[in-house]
Amino acid sequence: MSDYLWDKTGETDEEVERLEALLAPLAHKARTLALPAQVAHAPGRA
Amino acid sequence: MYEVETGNLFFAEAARAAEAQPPEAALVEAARAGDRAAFERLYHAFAPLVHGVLLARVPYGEVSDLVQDVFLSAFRKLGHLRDPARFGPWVAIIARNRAADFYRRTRATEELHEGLAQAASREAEASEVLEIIRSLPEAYRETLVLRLVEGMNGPEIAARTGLRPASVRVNLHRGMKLLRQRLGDAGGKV
Repeated sequence: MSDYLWDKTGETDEEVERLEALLAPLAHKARTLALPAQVAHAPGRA
Repeated sequence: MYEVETGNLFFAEAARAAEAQPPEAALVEAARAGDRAAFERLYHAFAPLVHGVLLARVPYGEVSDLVQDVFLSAFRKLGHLRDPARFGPWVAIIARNRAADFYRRTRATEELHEGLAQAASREAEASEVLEIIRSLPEAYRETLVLRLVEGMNGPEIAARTGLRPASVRVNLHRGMKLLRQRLGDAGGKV
């Protein structure tokens, strides 16, 4: 496997680069998280 | 003298153990103690992972709200997380379960290609590629979405999901090979 697909180093894979550019607009966009007022966190049970 | 040395060794061990812990472990502990800002930092650090896990399974238009649902659920259940260093794998499981729950509540035929398919051609093309990725075996589709959509590299995917780097490497390699084949089968339209 090319290093580019694994860790974005080495020679660029043109197809991977094309797909990255095409799909990047679908990535997560930062949004404020509205947390509830108060929650009691029980100690680890599961 | 012996006690002092033992104490130093103890603290050295404790320091090494603390250094070995990923930063999310301290954030989880702080959030459990009521530090809401710590949980918000966890959200910002792991939202791309949760977004990618969901995007590999549910329609694009649903993902953003489901990300919020997953983190609210994680916030409520944080006390159930046994190992604070495994927040990433744990929240990814919540996301996978939430995606499965989405399909239990929504008829599969209601798959929403909405918006994207009718939007500009480049967005439609992205939607088609995403659909092809989502048709791949589960292990490949999630890894490819995290790599190609969310922009993580292989080592980051391994660290966040808790998968072994070797497994991520195999999933990326085989998934990309299959994706190239299917894009070719689509007749170069995508």
